[in-house]
Amino acid sequence: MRLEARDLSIGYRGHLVGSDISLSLGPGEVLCLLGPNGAGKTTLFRTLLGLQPALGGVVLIDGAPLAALRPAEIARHLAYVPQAHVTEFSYSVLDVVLMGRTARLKPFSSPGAADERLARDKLAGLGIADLAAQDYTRVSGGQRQLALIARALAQEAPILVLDEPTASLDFGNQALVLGRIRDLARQGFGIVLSTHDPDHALLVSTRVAIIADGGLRAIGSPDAVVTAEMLSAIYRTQVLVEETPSGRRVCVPAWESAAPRG
Amino acid sequence: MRHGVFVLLLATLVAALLLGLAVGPYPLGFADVLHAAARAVGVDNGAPTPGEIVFGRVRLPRVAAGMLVGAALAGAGTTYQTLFRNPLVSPDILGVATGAGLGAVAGILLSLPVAGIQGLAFVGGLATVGLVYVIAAALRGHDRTLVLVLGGVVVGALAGACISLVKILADPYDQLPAITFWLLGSLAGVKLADLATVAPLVLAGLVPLVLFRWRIGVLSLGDDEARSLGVDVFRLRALVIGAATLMTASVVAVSGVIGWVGLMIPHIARMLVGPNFSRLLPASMLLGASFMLIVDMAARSIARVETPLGILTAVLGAPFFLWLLARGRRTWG
Repeated sequence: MRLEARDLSIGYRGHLVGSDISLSLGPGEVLCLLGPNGAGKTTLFRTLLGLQPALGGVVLIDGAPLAALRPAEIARHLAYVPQAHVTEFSYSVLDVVLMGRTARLKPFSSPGAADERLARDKLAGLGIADLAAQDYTRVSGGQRQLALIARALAQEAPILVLDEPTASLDFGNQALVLGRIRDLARQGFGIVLSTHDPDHALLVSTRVAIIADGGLRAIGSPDAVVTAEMLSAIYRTQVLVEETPSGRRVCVPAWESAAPRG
Repeated sequence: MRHGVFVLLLATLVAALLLGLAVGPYPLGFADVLHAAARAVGVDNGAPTPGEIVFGRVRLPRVAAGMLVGAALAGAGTTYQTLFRNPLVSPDILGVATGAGLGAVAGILLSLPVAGIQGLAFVGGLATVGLVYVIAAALRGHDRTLVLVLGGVVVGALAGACISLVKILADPYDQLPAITFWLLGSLAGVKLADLATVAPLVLAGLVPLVLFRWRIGVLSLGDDEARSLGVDVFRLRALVIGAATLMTASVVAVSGVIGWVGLMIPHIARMLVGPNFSRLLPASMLLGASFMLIVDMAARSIARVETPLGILTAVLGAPFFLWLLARGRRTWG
């Protein structure tokens, strides 16, 4: 199962957002999209998901052009995890996860007992089995994000596309969600996610793509792409990438530490 | 427990039905109903009693129409609220009632027979929604839901202006009262023959809603999510709008414009059974049928003259709407 974009041009009618974008993703890989606000990460996502047409180039799923597939066929290959939102109506967490089964049902069918068991399994796998009956609109942002990931898993698609899964989550929930994403990659899912935090790219990704200045600025291993020079250039502020005593790399703004030392 | 609410709703409907058959300016007893039933199966061949005649010609059509209109308006309202992800929209969101109103008042102005007026109302309702849909399709690149709703407002306002024009042109002694009465809604003149035309149309609209009940619920997540979950959003939405419009236009053609039902009832149903469309649609339709039976009973009982249904539903609906706003929740039911 492979998701591939070849020479992709993205944008809206009469407005080109980015061009010459080529990337590919296979099982177990985590591709992280980094880029400043307005660089086109969301547009690229929508194009990869078939929610808007490509202006040029092609998106392929196992070699088949995405544009030729029906929504249900796309949904069986690609599962989309939007940013944790509040629904208009008070669905239960289980209801929301069950909606992930839609592409697996016949047109006139509703989810049955087997679908419900599967949905509960997915919730349990993410450690939120006890939330099943709760009102989705009233659980925390982190729990909502996990519920949406459970919904994508219920879709049983081999590739997950996550739009800023850590946005508007507190530090603990960010770590929780990132940990689950890493687990899923180890289980063999191919994962594309976007983030505003380069540290998150260093934590979970196997490859990083930089979207800036109307196209794909760089793509490669996190160590090669997430560098002080690159981050300073795309975010237009001086950034340092430092190594901690344990050998991890972290990104920080390049001004003096605010807290006086010792 | 899962079915408890439905048993309760069904019991309410049966109670409202029995009450609706009995109560009115000419009170009926069970003896009249039994006589009529006996005659229908050919047991009783004597002269019909006055009660029997009232039952067969007046009360029965009226009660049946009440159930049909209430269920159809509540079902269409539930569908539109789910589709547009907005609990404050009503079956008239795309201008169907205003369009039907324009068709009907034009029919009255032209002194058409009742069937002609109903036909024009039906065509007017469908044409208005069709026009709104064409406008929304032409304005690509915007939020589709927003364009549909705003298109409905604009076309509805235009149809409303045309209704006012017809009112000015109408004969003030004969036609104008008929127009006014029609625009406020009534079940007083409904005949069984009308229902024989309308019921199949309502059923035809209901079939796709029942078949696609799960996917319609998924549409309530919004276009992008529904599509990424595998729903063909564009086609399903067109089908669902068509179905709900057919239901609304069919009943409005016989009952006139009855507001608020399609807004209030889905809300109450959502409080009872939750937002899942598969459960919400039947609950809402059962409740709508009961509600309309009771309101129509009041319409023919509280005064010496018929009270228009639109007035009664507005008296109930306006405070209900304010109460909803005052609750001030971000999400609903």
